[in-house]
Amino acid sequence: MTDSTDFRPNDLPPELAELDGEFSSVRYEERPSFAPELEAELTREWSALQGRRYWPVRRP
Amino acid sequence: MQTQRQTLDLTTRRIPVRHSPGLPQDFEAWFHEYRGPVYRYVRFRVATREVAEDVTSEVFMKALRSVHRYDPDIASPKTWLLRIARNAVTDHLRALRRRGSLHVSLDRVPDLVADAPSQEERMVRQERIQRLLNATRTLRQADQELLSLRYGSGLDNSEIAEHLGISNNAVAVRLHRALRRLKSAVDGPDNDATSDYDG
Repeated sequence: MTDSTDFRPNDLPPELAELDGEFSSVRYEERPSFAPELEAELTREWSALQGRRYWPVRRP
Repeated sequence: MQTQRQTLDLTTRRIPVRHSPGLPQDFEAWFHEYRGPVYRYVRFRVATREVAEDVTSEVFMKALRSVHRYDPDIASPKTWLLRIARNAVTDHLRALRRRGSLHVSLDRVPDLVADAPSQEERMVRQERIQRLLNATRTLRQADQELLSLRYGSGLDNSEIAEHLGISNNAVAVRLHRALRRLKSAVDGPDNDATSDYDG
């Protein structure tokens, strides 16, 4: 959700200001377990990257 | 998710990669601080929560694999991550188009939250918001991008300006125009039968 008062253009006509207000109230609910699942996946990936012991070097 | 070996250019390496059991310290902080804005940006541009999760995962996986190439002189971490997100969304939408999967759908969106005092009002509000969101998907990509940055990620004009590499004034003008085109799309005669995709 955004705080439309932060950055609503001052010159928005009423019908667009209404639209801006409606859009600013849009909020999606994130699945609660998504963040911890993703963090665990990233941690595994990081561990795997380190396990390869080297990073190939791009030649100039 | 497929693992791929990344190329490291030592001459542009800006962040020392700390080898530790967890995530790199900076990256972990970015994940906690910017996962929300990235997810909401992606969610604003794709049709389902599942796709948003897949694309968001891809964004952070790509960022992790190239964290050694992040340059704070070029962009803030938030802008960097949102640029990766923009590319991931673009790739996703392109793939959908290739498959011909862009199509009309006005299905209810279960993860869309509409704050209202009563159940009935919530339903009405949710339908109205869904109608607006469907209408955004009839707009050109540049407008969708702008609206997603503002209303999805909640960026202010200066942050959007940094992300797009344009002036604050240009952002205000483009937002104004995008909202006007959206208004036309919402008020259009065939709005009820158009827009959205199953991506």
